[in-house]
Amino acid sequence: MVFRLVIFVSIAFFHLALKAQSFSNYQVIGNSIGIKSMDEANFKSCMKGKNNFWNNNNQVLIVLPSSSHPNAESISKLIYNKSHTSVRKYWLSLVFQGRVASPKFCDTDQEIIEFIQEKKGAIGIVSKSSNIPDNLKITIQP
Amino acid sequence: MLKSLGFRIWLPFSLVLFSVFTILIVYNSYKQEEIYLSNRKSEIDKLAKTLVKQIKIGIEEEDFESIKKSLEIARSSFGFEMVKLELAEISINYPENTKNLKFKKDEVIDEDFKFNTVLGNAELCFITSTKQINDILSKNNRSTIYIFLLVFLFSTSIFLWFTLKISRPFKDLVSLANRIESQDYLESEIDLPNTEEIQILHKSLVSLKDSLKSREEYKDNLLKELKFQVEEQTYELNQLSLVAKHTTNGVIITDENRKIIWVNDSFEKLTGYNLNEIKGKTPKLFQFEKTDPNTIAKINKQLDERETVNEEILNRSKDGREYWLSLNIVPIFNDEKKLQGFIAVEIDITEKKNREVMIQKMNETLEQKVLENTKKNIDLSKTLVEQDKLATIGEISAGIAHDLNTPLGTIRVGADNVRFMIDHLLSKDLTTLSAEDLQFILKHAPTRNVENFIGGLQLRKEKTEIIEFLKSEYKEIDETTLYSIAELMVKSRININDDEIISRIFSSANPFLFADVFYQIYQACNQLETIKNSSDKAVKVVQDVRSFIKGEGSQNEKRHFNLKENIATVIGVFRYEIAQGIDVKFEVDPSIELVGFDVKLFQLWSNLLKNAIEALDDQENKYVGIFSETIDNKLFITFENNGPKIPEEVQKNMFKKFYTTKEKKSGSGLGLSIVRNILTDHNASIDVYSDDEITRFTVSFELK
Repeated sequence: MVFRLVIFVSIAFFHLALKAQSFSNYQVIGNSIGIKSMDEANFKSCMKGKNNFWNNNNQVLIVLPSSSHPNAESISKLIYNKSHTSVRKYWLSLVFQGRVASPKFCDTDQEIIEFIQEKKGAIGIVSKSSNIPDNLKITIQP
Repeated sequence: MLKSLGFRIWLPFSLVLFSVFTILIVYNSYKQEEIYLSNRKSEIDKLAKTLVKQIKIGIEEEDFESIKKSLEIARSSFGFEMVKLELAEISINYPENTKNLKFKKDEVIDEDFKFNTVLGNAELCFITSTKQINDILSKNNRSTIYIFLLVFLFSTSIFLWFTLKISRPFKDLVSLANRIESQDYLESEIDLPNTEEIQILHKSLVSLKDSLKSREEYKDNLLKELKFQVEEQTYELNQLSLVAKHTTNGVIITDENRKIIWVNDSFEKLTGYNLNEIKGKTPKLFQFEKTDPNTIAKINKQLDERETVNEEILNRSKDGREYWLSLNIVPIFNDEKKLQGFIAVEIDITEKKNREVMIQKMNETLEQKVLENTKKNIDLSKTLVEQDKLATIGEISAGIAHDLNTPLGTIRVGADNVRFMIDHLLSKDLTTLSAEDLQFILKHAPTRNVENFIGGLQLRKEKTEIIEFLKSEYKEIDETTLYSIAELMVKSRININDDEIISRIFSSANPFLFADVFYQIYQACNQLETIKNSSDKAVKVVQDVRSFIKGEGSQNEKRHFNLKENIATVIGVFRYEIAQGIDVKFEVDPSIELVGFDVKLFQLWSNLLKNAIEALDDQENKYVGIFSETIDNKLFITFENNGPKIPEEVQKNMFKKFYTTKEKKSGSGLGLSIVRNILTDHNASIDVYSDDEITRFTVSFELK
C-alpha cells in the first residue's frame, strides 16, 4: 500500500512539475516572421516542422536548444511533450527522410537569440530572463 | 550473290568474327557483373562506413542537415535506391518516398551496418534491387555491345571490301571466261591488280581467249570453206554424176573384185553391151587375141597394187568392132582406206590411133622432103650469099663505072687532043725551024712540070707581064705577033724568067711557029701524062673490084696486111658515093698490121661503110668517121655516122640472116650476117651504139 502511495505521489509530483513548465517562463522569439503573436497550437505545429514558409514567404527556420542547453528537456517537453532525445529522433527522422530542413540546435539562449537576430524567418524559444530584444518577441496566446 | 567468291570468303570470316564477338560480349557481361558487384560491395562498405561516421557525428553534433547532405551525395554518386536507418525503435527510410517501396525477395540486395549513437543502437541498411543493378549492368553492357557491334560491322565491312577487292579480278576473269565460253571475243581491257598470279592467270585467259578467238575464226573460216567445199563438191558431184552419165566417154564402176556394177550410156554405145548383160562380169570380156598381153599384165599389176592406171588398150565390141581405148582406172577407197572398187573412164581413141599411123607415114615422107629441102636451102643460102655479094658489086658498080668513065674519058679526050696536036703540027711547015730549034723544043717542052690548070685571072696577069716584057725587049716585032707569042707562052707556062726559052723563041727564024710548036709539044706531053694517070686510076679501080670479088682460094689463107691500106681500098671502092657530099674522117693508125683474111675483112669494112653511107640517104649534113684505137692488147675500129637512130628492135635482129630493113632497096638481109661470120672467123666482136646523134659500130680484135 505504501508502495502504491509512493508511486502515486511521485506521479502526482511529476505531473505537477510538468504543469509548472508553461510558456509563462519562456519567451517565443522570431525574426521577420510576419506576425507578432500566435496561439500555442500554431506555435507547436510550426515548431514540429509542419510549415515550411511564413506568410511573408520567408523560410521557416526552427531554432531549438541543444542537448547542452539547460532548458533542453523542459522546452522539449513544453513544445513536443517529448524528451529531448525523442525530439532529436523526431527531427532526425524528418531530416533523414528529407521532409524538412534540419532545425538549428543552440547551446544557450544567447546563441538562440543571436541566430534568430541574424536569420529572417527564424523562430525559437528562450527563457524570459534572457535579455531579449523587443522586436523579436512573439506573444503566445493560450 | 550467295555463290559469289567474295561472299564465300567473307561469310566464314564474318561468322567466326560474330562468334568471337558473341563470346566476348557474354564473357564481358559476366565479368562486368562480377566486377561490378564486387566493386559495389566494396564501395557500399566504404560508403556505409563513411555514412555511419557522418550519421554518428551528425547525431552527436545535432547537425542533421549534414547527414541529409551526406545521404544526398552518397545516393547521387552511388545510386542505391533506399537507405533504411533503424534507430532505437524507429525506422527511417531515405528518401521518404521509398517508404512504401516493395521489393521482391530475389530482387533485393541488402547491406546492413550496425553502430551505436547517442540516440541508441542504430542499423543502417542500403537496399538496392537486382533490377537496378541489372539495368546498370545492361546499360554498361549495352555500350560494350554497341562498341563490339560497331567493331564487328566495321571489321566485316572492311573485310567485305577486301574480299570484294580480292574477288573482283576473279569476277572479271570469270566474266572473261564466261565471255570466252559464250564465244564473245570482243576486245575489252580488264583492269586487274598488279598481282603476279592474277596477271599470269589473266594473261593465260587472254591468251586462251586470243587462241580461242583465232580458233573460232579459223573454225568459222573452216566451216565456211567446208560448206563451200561441200556445196562445190555437191555441185561437182551432181555435175560429175551428170558427166558420168552423159559424157561421151565410157564410164565403168566395178566392185573390189573388178566385177562390173554400173556403166554409162556411152559405154553401152561403145561396146554394144547393155548393163544387164555385163553386170557382174569383168572387163576381160572386151579383150581379145589382138589385145596386147603386156598391157593387160601391166594393168592387172597396177590394179593389184591399188595404183591409178593410165594405159591404151585395144578392145573388141559386141559386134566384133575393134576399138582403141585410153583407159584411166582409179581405185576407190572408203574412209578406212579399204578398197571399194574401181572407176574406169574409157576414151575411144581409135581415130586418134588411125591418125597417128597416118601421121607416122606422113612424117616419114616429110623427113625425106625436109632433107631434100634442107639441101636445097643450103644451096639457096649459098646462092643468096653470092647474090648478096653480087648485089653489093651491083650497088658499087655505078661508082666503079663512074670511076672508070672518068679516066677513060680523060684518056679519050687526051688521045683526041694528042691527035689534034699532031695533026696541027703536021699541018705546019716546020722547015722554017732549024734542027736545033726542034731539038730544043723536044728537049724542054716535055720536061715542063707545071700545074695544068691556072685560073683566067692569073693567065691574064702573066700574059700582060709577058707582053710588056716582049714589047720592051723585042720592039722590032710587030705587036700582033707579040700578042700571039705571048698567049702561046702563057699557055705553055713560060714566064719572063725563062730567059733561055724566050731568047730561043725570039732567036728562032719564026718565033711564032717556035712558040706554037713548043706549046703543042708541051700540051701533047701533058695530055699523055694525063692519059697515063687516068689509066693508072682505071687500073686501081679494077684492082679494087678484083680484090672484092677475088676467088675463094685466097680467102682460106690468113696473111699480114696493113689495116689502113685495107680500109683505104674500101673507101676507094665507095669513092663515088662518098663524093656525093659526105664528109669522111679517116683516122686509122698506118702502123697497125693485122693477120687475117684480108678479102673477108675487105667485105667486113665494105658492109659497115656501105651501111653507114646508106644510113645517110636522107641526111642533110652527111658524116662518116673511121677511127682506130689500141687499148692494151685490143684493137678497136669504129665506123660511125650521123644517120638516124637504129631502133632497139632492129638492133636485136640486124645480125640475123635475112633480116633487112631495106626491102625497097633490094636488101638481102645478109650484110651484117656476113659481118658476124667474118668476125667469128677472126675471133673478133662487134658492139653497136646508136642514138639520135650518132650510130657507132665498133669492131674489136685481139692483138697477139
